[in-house]
Amino acid sequence: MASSTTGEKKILTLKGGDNEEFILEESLVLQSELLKNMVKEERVSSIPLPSIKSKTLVKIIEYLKKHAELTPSNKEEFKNFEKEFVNVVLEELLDITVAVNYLKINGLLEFCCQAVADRIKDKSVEAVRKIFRIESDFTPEEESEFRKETPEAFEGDLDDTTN
Amino acid sequence: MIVASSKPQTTLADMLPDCLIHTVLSHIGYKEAARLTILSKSWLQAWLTHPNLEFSVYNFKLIKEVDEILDRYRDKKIPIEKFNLSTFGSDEVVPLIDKWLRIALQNGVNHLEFGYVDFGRTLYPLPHVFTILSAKSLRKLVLKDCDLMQLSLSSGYVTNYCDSLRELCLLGVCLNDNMLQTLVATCPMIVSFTIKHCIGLKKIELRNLQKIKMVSIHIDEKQPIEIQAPTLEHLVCCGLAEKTLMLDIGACQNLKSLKLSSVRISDGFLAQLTSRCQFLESLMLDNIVSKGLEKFKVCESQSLKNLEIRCCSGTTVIDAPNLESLDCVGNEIPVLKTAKTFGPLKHSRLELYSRENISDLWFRKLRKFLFNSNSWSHVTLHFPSCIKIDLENWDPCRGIFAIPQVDVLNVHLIGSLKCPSFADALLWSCHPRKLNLFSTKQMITYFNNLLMYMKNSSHSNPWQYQLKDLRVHKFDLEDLRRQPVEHNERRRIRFSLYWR
Repeated sequence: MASSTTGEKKILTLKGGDNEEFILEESLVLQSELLKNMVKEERVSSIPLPSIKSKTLVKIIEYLKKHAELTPSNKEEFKNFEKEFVNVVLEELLDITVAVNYLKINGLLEFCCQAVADRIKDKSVEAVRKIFRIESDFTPEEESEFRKETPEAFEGDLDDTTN
Repeated sequence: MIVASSKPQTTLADMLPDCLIHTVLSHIGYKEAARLTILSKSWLQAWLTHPNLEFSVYNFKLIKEVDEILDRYRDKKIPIEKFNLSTFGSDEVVPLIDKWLRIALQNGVNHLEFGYVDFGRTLYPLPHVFTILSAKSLRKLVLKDCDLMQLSLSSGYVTNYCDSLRELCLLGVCLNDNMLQTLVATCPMIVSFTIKHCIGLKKIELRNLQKIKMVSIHIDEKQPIEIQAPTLEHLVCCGLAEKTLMLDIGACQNLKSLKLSSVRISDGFLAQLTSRCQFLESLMLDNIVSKGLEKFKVCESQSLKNLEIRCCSGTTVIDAPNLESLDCVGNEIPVLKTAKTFGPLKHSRLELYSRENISDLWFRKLRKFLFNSNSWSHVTLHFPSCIKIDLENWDPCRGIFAIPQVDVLNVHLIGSLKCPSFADALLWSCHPRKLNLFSTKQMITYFNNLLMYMKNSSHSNPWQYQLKDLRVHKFDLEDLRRQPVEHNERRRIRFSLYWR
């Protein structure tokens, strides 16, 4: 993947986990601290990202494009886009979050973590356990002690649904 | 969520590295996050270093618990971003408050809130307000029910500026003019300043704040307010309706929005204000008392886009050619005198709560108001069950002929009215495209019959003849079920009306 330049704009290739290639302007990826360092210091023009699924990468690139177009006048539109952006199944949201964490896109990371947090807010412990398919690694003794110490954690009007 | 799959199943939680669990948890409140510690050891670990702490210490058991948690944060140097502490006043907790606040500051807190609840008996004599203010990390400070009066200002407390603080809120704090001046001088870079129900001030004077954008002031006494801040964009002033507001904001030429609430204003106050503040876009007047007529002028403001008037007495004279949004809520129909007409508004809303009995004059006033003010998107009328409507003198052929158009007319009728021409008079006042009726079954039937009659009759009065077609939308059962039990009798119905 040789570096090519069209006019002033530098072009960069990102390679997703399934070897799919994405060609985009270099200026877009500067929002990612990780890619910025790679581009600036190592002067690469093709970056393999084997740990990120292509589907996830498509979403993130879409975000970077929208974010680059953000102006005070289309703020509202961008907010709606953000809302839609995280309106995906949890598994996909977590994929995105992990990838964004790896790429170090700080603003988007906070937003994704907030979205994950919103999914489990006001849910009962049992529901969260089901949502995340978490198996407890506490011993039964530890767990029963915990329940005794903080009974309020298991009380209250909490949502048991896992949607 | 069970996924049938032959490959070994990774749990979703496995996909979230521990550092992400920590970030996710920090977006959930401290108390709720505590609940989730039982999920697994990773979640427990993440909670033990939660950056946002909130403690409401209202019993003795909690004192020890909070003290232990904060000792751990101190010993392990766990970063604290937000610290929200409210405590009750007891001899056991008071000696610890200072220690806890210090730990938060040492661990880099950037948003600190402290409230002291002694049910109004005493205030907490905060000894180290200047130490708190000088913390490099601190961006926002909220103090509730603290006493700053007992601090001595003489002993060189104010050694250097605290240029990191951006937001300062004083709620129910006791301080004098001197202390306020010192506080303001100590943090000249604040962007937002709120002072509510504070005790001991004779005057509220703000000057030399280079970055200030937003000021919110609630006073309980008749203190004069003087703000000298060319950068100020948003100002909220709330006071006591019986006292005349003494507000000097002559130097705030860049003000964009102003909200005045529960104050008496002097003659020409608004006219003077709008001529000074050439960039004023939003003006909200809430429960404003002004003397007599013609005193309520919003004049020659080229910049004004949004105007909200709530429960204000007097006549409103609006001369704002670029107005985009107008919102009026009150008991009486306002008299709007537009010196120059403003263009079609993007948003307009009128909400009236009738308190007195209604006669034909009321409908004439309503019609005139709606007619004069160009276009109304939402009109809501509330008629409580106690009012009487007397339309004996109503003459439908009198007055202006063109009937104002309204997008949505909401009518709330409690109880049944014994006035046969009520619906007639209402549709004589305006022609709504959508009519939402919240009333008894009986009233709904009455409206329905009248509308059907209007549609089918060709010999009726001219204003009735204009109804071309109508459609009735009954709200579904779900809507009815959501209504409170005591209003069980009331129903909602929507008519779409097509006028000629």
